[in-house]
This record gives sequence, C-alpha cells and structure tokens, in this order.
Amino acid sequence: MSANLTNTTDRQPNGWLPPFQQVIDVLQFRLDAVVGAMRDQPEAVATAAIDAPETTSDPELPGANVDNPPVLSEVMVRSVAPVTSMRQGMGLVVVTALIAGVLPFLFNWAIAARVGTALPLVQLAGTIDQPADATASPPWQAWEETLKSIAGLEPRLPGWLAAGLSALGVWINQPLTWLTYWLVYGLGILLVCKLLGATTTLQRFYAVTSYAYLPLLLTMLGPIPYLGPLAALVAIVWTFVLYVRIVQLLTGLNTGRAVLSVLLPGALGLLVALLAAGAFIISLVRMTM
Amino acid sequence: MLQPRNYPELIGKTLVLEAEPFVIMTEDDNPWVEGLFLTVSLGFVIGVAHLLGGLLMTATLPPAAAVQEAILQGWRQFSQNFGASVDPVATTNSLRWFWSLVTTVSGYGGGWFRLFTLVTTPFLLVIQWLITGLLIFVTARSLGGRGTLNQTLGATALMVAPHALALLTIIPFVSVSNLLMLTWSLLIVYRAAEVTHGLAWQRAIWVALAPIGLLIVIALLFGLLVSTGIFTGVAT
Repeated sequence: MSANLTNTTDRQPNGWLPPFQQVIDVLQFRLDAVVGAMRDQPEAVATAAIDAPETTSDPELPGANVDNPPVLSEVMVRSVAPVTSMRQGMGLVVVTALIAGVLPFLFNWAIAARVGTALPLVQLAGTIDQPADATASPPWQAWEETLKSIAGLEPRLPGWLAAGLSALGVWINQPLTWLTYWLVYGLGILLVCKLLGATTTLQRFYAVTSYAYLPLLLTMLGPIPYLGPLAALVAIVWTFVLYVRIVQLLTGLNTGRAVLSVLLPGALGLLVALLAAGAFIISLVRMTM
Repeated sequence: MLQPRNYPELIGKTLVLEAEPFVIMTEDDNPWVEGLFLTVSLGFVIGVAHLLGGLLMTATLPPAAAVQEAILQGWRQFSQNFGASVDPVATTNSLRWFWSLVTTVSGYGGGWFRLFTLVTTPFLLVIQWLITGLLIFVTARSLGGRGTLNQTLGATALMVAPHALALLTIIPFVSVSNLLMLTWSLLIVYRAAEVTHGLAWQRAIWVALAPIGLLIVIALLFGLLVSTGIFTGVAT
C-alpha cells in the first residue's frame, strides 16, 4: 500500500471553499444550483456516488468486487457528481464565521485595550464603565466591586497585547462554535429527517446545509448600536428559512416536516435543559428546607 | 508506513468523512502501529499547544497572587455586609488553600505541574482509542462485520482527528467544545465501522454508538453502587 495519500475522490469538487457564484445563488434562494441533480436519488445511489471507494470495483481498494465489474448504473452515478463537497461545506462555515467575527474582534480589542486587560475579565466585570447598581443588595455590590478590581489589575503582558491576544482567542472561538452547531445540531436535524423518511446521506447533508450559515455574516454588525441587534434578528430569520428550504430540497420532505425537523432538536435540547435546571432548583430547595 | 508529513492531509480528509483515510489505515502493513504512532504524535503536539497556550494565557492575566488578594478582599467585604456567622480566619485559609490548588493544577500560578499535559494528553488519547477500537471490533463482528482487530484499530485511530482542533488552544482563551469533539469522533467511528467492516449504515450506527452505550451503562451502575452505598451507610 502506498504511504502517500492519493486522490480517490476526484468526482467530488476539490478545494476547501465552494465557488463564489454558488454562494451568491444560495443567498438569492436559487438552491437548485447547490443541491444538484442528486436530491431525488435514493440513499443507496447517493451513497455510491459520494463514497465510491467503498463501492468501487477498483481491485486495489477494499470493498472492491473483482468478480462483478461496474454496472452501467454505477458508471452513471459516478458521472453525476455532487455540486458541493463536505470539505467545501466545512470551509464555508469556518470562513463565514471568521469574516463575521472581524468587526467584533476589533471592537473587543479596542474595549479591552482601553481598560488594559484581557477581554474575558472585562466581560466578567460587565459594569466596568457604569456606576455600581444602587439597587443591588450590599453582598452583591461587594462581589461587583471585587470583579471590577480584578479587571483593573495589571496583566503581566502590556495591556494592549493582553487585550489583543484575548480578543483573538474569542474571535477564533467563533468558527469553533459555528462548527459545533453545524455538526452537532445538524446531526440532530438529520436524525429527525431520517425518522420522517428522508433519503439523504451524511456528507451530502453537511455539505449543503453549510450554506445556511451564510446569512449569519450579518452578525458582524453586532457591535453597532441599534443596527447590530436588528441585523442579528434578520440573520437568524434568514438562516432559519434557508435551512428549512435546504432540508426540504435535500430530503424531499414537505414544508411542515422540514420545519419540524429543524426545530425539534432545539426543542428537545431546551426541554432537557429545563428539566435539568428544574431538578437542580428542587434539589437546592430541599437542601435548604 | 505513513509519513508524518501526510498527517495533516489525512486528518483533513478524515474530518470531512472521506473514505480514503480509512482505506489507507485499514490497508496499511501494520494498522495498529500506524494508529498508535498517529495518536501519540498528535497527542504530543496537542500537549505542546496546551502548554504554550497556558503560558500565554497566564501572561495575559494579572498575577495569581494579586487576584487572590482581590478575592479575599471581596470575601471580607461580603462577610461584613452579610453578617455571616462563619469563622473569618478559617474561611480565609480555606479560600487560600482552594486558590492555591486551582492555580497549581491549571498552571496559572506557575510551577512545573503544567508540563504533565505533555504526557497526559497522548496517554488519554491512546486509552480512549484502544477502548473504543476494541468495543467497535467486538460489536461490528457480532453484527456481521468482516474486518480484523488490527484493521479496526488502524481505522478507529482516526477518531483522534477532531482533537487536532485543540491545536488552536495555543491561542489564549480558545476552547474547543467537548460536545463537538465527541460528536465528530462518533461520526468518524461510524465511517470506520462502515468502511473496515463493510457494514450497512444502519448497523454501522449501532456499532458507533456501542462505546457511548457502554459508558452510560457504567455510569448508571456506578451511580447505583454509590447510591446503594449511601443508603446502606445511612441505614446502619
């Protein structure tokens, strides 16, 4: 076996980003351009198209069946390449998150540099520029003062550098968070879709749903007063509508089921969180009684 | 033998669930050795990233002693206002002890403790890989899989690929969600079972869920044992 990696996935689009025109098409809801001609194919055929090494008749690869040469349908499937690959989807999510975080990064750096400390300390203090809340109870005021005094302590590095490094860390966390949503929440949606009778595959699902994160670019306006929250609201609604439409096209589910599959994992997560919080509160109350 | 210079490409392709890395690991001359080398190498590099990231983070924060003083000052104010009936000296000492423990273990307070990460990170990754690999092999075989233990260990070693994201922790305050790494590893194990054992996707899902299922069973048993022990203790 060769120790070098060879390209056995040449029927998939290469590179880590989809073409810019596809991005524009998606934002204008021209989704056929990215979902491709494979959306109505059954699971087995789509899998064969995407996971060719497992179904290939290349005798060098495992899963190869030398006795059964490739049949016409397999050759036809190979010619219908997916429009977007999962690697392009992943690249798109990461790059979109990074771009969306540029302005907040600069804003955060400026805020933290003004105080001369690390950003999380500034965020922890929260009320750093505001007078202490007169209505707060004395014990709470004491902790507020403590947080302020910690935020006011000199870091070991120069203040602007500590602020910059910490703002950079917070910025880099953004693509990681978006990847978590894309992968974890996406898996939940895919499972619900499968339960509702969808026929798509894992890689295809992740590849195409990555486009739904594009409208979240608007969250870069977050630091701007009034406009920021409005832009965030528009971004969330746009993302939701786009996600539902993509799920609908990918899976062939009707609108109601597509909406259900997108909302259900979140609703279940919320329910579990509420139950856990309720159990925690009840335990605390019982302990104090 | 796979060259370490190919690891970034191998990890990249694994993360997007392409079949090629699993084929390469399965077809290697010595899959489990390849898997071990990959896991230890990646674990060590992540350990170095943790170490450097920890040092940088310590540098971006105020000195631990100054923060401790601020916390103690806050506590004194709090206990005065709250009128707490606790012994202030004992509480202050407890806070000092707790803060010293936290800063030593995290490395924030300095010292050599943070060097442990160079050993613990690869070690924990290897343990995680071996247990998962064995479980995947047993479950896959019982569901009709065709792969050998050696091949399974080679392919499941790729489950460490998402941990490569932890290299970003070299930047202070970057944290990678455990949920992300767990889910991604689960998807990779699913693909490993599918490719190595030639299983249908429905069966491969059950195989991939086996380690988590076992973990839940162990946690439930442990919880049962602990609660039984507590109740027995209360009864006697």
